Amino acid sequence: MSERTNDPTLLLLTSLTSGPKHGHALLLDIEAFAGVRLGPGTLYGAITRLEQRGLIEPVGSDDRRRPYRITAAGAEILTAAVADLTRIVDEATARLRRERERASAATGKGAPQVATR
Amino acid sequence: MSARGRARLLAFYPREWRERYGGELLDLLEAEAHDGRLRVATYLDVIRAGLGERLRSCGLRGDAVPPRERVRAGVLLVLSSWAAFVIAGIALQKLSEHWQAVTPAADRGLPRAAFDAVRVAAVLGSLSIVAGVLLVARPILTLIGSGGLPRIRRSLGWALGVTALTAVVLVAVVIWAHHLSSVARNGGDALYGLAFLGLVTCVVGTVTAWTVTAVTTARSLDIPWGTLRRETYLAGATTLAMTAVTGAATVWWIAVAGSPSGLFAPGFPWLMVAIVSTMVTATGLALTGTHRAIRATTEGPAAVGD
Repeated sequence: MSERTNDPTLLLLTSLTSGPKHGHALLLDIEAFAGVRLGPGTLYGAITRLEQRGLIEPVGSDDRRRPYRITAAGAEILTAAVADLTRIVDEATARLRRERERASAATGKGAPQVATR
Repeated sequence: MSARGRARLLAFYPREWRERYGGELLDLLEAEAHDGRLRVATYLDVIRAGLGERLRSCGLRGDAVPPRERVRAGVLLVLSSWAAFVIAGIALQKLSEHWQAVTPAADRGLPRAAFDAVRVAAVLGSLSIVAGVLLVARPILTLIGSGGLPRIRRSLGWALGVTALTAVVLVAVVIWAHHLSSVARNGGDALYGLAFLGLVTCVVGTVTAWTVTAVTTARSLDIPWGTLRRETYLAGATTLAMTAVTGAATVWWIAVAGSPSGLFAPGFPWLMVAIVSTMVTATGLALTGTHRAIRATTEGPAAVGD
């Protein structure tokens, strides 16, 4: 199974990899590392789906805010998704490099303006 | 938005979801509120997500419920769409009264063929619905025999009550109409116009109440997998009939509007646009329901979604 980069579930699994978090902490963390501000409804939709699939689980807490942590199955899914994404990023980087070199050789004026990370 | 207003947002979610996650979501909304107010985008996000959870819980989205429930949900979506279609059909029937009398004989060929197609397809669609109801006659009797009547008593009571009210209003309007001139019946008498509007509301209420009763009952039934498969075929037949009616009604409308019949008053044809829009929307929903039911039947009764 592969998760999409724009899928809130992937962002949520990534966030929980650094330790259990409750809803608000998840929103702040995801915004900090991905620059995406998820809506509360979207976040809890993802939490619902991930918990149903056994990829995350609630952590016992006396606080009203219930933290969640990633399960072994969730970590496995995240690892597979990251491997997928890495392959795509590597391929995109290689193709962009080849295109830049081809354009440079054809025009002798340098590379096309393509943003890469 | 106040704490009470935020709590009201939870009403968009199904009860089971609220019991499990409602408190946590409220806490998050409280944390997200600035000066006690939520952003409009947050408000819309929660509503969208809540409605999505409702669709999931009744089997119309995702794979969280077993195929059996997804087939049932798809078929019931077709049934509900048919109910909306019936209301549009009644309006079309009323609008098209005497169309042949006011259309020149030379211009009647295409609209007559289209109107006949509407009637034939409507009859076929109705027969599919009746066959679908007959298919679950045994499970309905089993439900009643096993003391399941209280589960549908409320909606059944509403349906019977609204039907009785509609019958009373219908009789009163018909008696009144017989004492009025044609001009008064067609917009000349404002009070009669109001009464007619009341009758239309009652008819819509009756169709809605019986549809709710049918859906509530169908959700309580223990339906064998084979019967569900046959219901899917009938849902497909109903959807085909709806598509044919929508297409033929549109052809009829264009053909009659293009002739010097004078059936449609000058100006924008609001009523016909509303009728066709309702038919198109209902047909689209029925196609969605049929597609979902067919997809779920291919998984088999034992498969459980992830």
